[in-house]
Amino acid sequence: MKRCLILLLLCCLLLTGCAARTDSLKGQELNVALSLYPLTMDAQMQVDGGSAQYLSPMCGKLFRLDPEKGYVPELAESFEISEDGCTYTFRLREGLRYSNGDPIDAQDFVDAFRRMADPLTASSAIYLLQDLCRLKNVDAVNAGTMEPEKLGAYEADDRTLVIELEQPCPYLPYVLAMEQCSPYNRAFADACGRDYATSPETLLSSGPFIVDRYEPLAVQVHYVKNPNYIDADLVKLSGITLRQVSNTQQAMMSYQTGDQDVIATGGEYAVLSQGDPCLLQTPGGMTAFIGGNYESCKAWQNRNIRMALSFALNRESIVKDFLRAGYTTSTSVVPTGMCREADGKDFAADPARYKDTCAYDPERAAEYWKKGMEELGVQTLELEFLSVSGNQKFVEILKDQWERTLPGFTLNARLVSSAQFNDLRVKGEFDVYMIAWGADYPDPNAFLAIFESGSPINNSRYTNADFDKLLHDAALELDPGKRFDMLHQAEDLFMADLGAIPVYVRGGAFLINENVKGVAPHFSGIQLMFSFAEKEEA
Amino acid sequence: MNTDFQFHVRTEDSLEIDHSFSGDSFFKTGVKRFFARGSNVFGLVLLCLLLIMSLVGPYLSGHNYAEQNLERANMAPRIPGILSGEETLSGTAGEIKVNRYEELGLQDEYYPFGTDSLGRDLFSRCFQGLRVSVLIALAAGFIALVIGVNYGMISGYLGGKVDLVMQQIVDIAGSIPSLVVVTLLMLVLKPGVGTIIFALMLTGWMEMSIIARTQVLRLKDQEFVQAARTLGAGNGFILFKEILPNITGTLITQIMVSIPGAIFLETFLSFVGLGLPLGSCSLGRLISEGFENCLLHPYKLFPCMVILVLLMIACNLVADGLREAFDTRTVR
Amino acid sequence: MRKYIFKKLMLSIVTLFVIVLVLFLLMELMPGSPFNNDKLSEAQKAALAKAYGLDKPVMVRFFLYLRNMLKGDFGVSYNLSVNTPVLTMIKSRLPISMRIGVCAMLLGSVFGLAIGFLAAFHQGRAADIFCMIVSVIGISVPSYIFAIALSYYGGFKFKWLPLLYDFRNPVVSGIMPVLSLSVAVMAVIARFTRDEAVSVMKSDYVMFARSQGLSNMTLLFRYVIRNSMMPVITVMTMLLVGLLTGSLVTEQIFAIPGIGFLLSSAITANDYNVVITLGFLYAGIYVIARLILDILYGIIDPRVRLGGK
Repeated sequence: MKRCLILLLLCCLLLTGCAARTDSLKGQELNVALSLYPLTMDAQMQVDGGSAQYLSPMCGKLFRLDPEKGYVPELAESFEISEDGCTYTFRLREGLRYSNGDPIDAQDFVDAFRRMADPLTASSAIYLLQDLCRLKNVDAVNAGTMEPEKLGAYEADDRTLVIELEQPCPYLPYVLAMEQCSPYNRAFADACGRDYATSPETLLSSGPFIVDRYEPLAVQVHYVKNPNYIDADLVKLSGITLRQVSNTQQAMMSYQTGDQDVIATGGEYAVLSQGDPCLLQTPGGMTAFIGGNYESCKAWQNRNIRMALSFALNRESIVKDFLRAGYTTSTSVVPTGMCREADGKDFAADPARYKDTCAYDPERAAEYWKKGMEELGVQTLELEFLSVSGNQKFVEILKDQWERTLPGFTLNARLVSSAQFNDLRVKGEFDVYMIAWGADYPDPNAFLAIFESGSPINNSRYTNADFDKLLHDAALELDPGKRFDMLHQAEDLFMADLGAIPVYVRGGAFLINENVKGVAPHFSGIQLMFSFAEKEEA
Repeated sequence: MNTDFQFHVRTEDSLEIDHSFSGDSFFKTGVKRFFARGSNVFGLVLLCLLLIMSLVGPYLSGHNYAEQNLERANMAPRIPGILSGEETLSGTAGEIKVNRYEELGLQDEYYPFGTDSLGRDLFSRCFQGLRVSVLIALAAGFIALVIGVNYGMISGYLGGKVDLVMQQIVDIAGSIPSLVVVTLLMLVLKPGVGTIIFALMLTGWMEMSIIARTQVLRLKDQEFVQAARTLGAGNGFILFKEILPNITGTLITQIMVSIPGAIFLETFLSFVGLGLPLGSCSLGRLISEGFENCLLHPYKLFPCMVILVLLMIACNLVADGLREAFDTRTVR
Repeated sequence: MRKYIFKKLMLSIVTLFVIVLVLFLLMELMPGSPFNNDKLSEAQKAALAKAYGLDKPVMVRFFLYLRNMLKGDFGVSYNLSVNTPVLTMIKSRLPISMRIGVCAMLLGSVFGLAIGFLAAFHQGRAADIFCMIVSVIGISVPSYIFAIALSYYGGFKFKWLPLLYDFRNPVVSGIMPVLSLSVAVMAVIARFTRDEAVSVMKSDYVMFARSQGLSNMTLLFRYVIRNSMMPVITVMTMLLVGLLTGSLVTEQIFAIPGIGFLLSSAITANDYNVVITLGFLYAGIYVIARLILDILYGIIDPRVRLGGK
């Protein structure tokens, strides 16, 4: 009986052990550890930064982001814009192929757009076409009242793609450089059925790499070079292993033992890389702000209270002593170092330009507080703060700083899972909440539009008719100079009103082994681009 | 040498004193047996020390456990004459030596366990955490005991169909992994000490009820119970006045056994991020916070881990000792 | 005999049914909708709810779920990995957790049994004290502390083994997780084996055998192991189930893509189907393990099946 059992267990062990593969890896193999994992590898279904990061090596797009030029054509050869700025005509390069040898033609791009807009797909990525750029007829197609053929994207011939917009979109190439806009091979996907994009066999690559190993919710994905990629000669690596490590510490140890070439670091770990030339710090892409409920929270409606909360925050200390590397203080919802105006000037060049509303000054905080409390006619104030449980320590700091400076104030933290957080903030069940917002395209509009009345992301229900009008006019303005002026006005208006309290800007901090060249930071969402990296053998 | 018969020679360790006929009460014999073993005494002393520290520890260092000071974040332990407060970090570009006390010019400041990333004194926090964890475990154990004992005694005493159904319920409830139940509960309910106690109680009462039931089954046909019944005692009287006092030893043991389990689960929940509300601290919370950067600052993890392990060892030793001393099966 | 097996089988099925019901109701209480994305409009959410059948009453949904489950269809993941069948997600992860759990189990049992029997034979002497120390430490120290210590010393300081689990090298990178999980197993088994063996050795038949002059080795193999194994195997089975459910933190530390990782992600993402399915899987393994043990007991020891009446 016992012998049988042990024999059985040994058999199990052997069987599972057989699955072990110990093939030696030849050529340049890059090992990367990041903090995110992919939620899906279905390009048109994804909206999160993790999926985009893992999709980026296998997705060929019309444009590819470039650290110097912003964007460069990838699968597109050239493009023309009509005079009203609403019609784009793209010419594709010749000889484009998927990893399985199927040709890529303009129809595949059209299919990708139609798939996103299809109400049956129910893709969250529809916001690309509805909010980022206004693709013609997208609302009607998405509501199911118009045939998908009438969508503002169609094929003129095999190598010519036409995109029609409802209003000009100066940053359209950035939108088209997103993974969702990579070509979609409908015949292949139909053949895969429900299993599409769940395994290497059901994934099709149009980009520099082919997925070699993946399973749903993978924490380790392996890529090999795609020989059919149009710029295959630019790709130096033979393979990439991309993995998620939830704890920076594990990544750090793994980097120091030489197992990983590139890792995401930051926070307290930055102290370990002081003076290390391998440390790459990227400017911020995510702006973290505290918002309040303008509908139900009387205290938040009071500007004096908001000012008091803002002046009671010691942003310098929070960033210097707690958040550390990769973070900077901010006084506006538009982060510095991300949005360039037409002349190349930074839209938010001075990070301290809104000192009048966002600075640390306990005395002024107490003054505003006194005034605000008198206006509210109360002695004590309790607010419920909604945040994700990962932010626990940060909320403890906020609670401490606020309660210390503002007499009679109590902050009740409500820490929930990220799923609950999203649900509760959309429903408006909070007094105050904090969120870090990342943009999809490097334009101030990406940060300001989330406060427009009616925006689904405007969870604090901020309404300001002047602000709305400025944003609306800016969207229709064709002259870049005037457009940025309007956006500046909108930002000034918003910050003078203190519609939300900016706290910090989160950038990236990465350690890249010195024998790896050509890893480029990305402005948001995706953390790093390494498809064209090079690794010298040590 | 061949003889017709031979006495089996007893060795020294198989010689036993016959306790059944000594005049001491059950309780007294138990205490005697308990203190006869060195490891039990060690466990009990350790447990008492820990409990005393959990009461006075948070006030010894002069820093409140919740007091933040961001500027003094991540200070290494400093004890006069023993630790200088210097720490060596294995950086990516060589070793880095840091002494935060000197950087900040704090010549007369001593944090014996160091400070955490918000500048709070870890010494006070460790013992405050110990207090909270022990309280949670005790409360959960006690509530589980009340429910479990009643359930088990009723089930065992009534027997028959009632027993069958009640045992089936325990069986089914027992097959749902407690981890799944507890995590789901923590998500549904508002986080807090009450919720953790409730979740722990929910998984703990079954074991209690099984033990109570076994004990009742053993006792209910004994002479003293039958005597009470003949004299006209009601079911309630028999259960609570006759049987309950006789199984107290076993139940105390079971509470001791349940403490390590409850603390385990609490640390686990904190680790997964479903622990106590903001501002409070427990051993689990401290360990998961310390774990986040135990490579960078090992001193943050070390003391609370040692306290946890000591507590677990003390509880296990005492529980073992109690079980052996009071378990009637081993009484000869 | 057949009646006994049938009875046990029916009880197991009822148990499983109740478990599904309880899990389903618990998930109903969960806050938040499964579609968490601010980029989704209300109309889209309604359409999604309809597509997944979430607009129907609770009881209808429960029976729909049950029907599909019997067909082997556990539904798809809502938002963890959109539209992927839950079964697919579990299929690729279960073997990894299983292998590590079983290896830890084997390693722990071999050492645990050895230490336990050794202690039983040398009661009260050095070996016994050693056994006690090992078991108390093993039970008192959570496995993740061993995991942290191992990954620091074995992986970082001395660079013996890879720190993170790697599918390209599952055997070598699996050593540290297995080691850290096996300590607790070893401790529990050592202690249990010792207690069982001691009680067997105190029994009359062993006393008798010893008085007949049988050697210690013969005693060990002929009587002690045989008679103390059955309860030990029960403990081992329960431990194995515990290893599968409880290795969550260890999986996190070594970045192992196992089912523990899947469960924690599913809970934070409110992915109803994945949580129910995993809970059911855990409970199912437990119930089946118990059923097998019960039947085995019934076959070996007639007192069990007759006493059950």
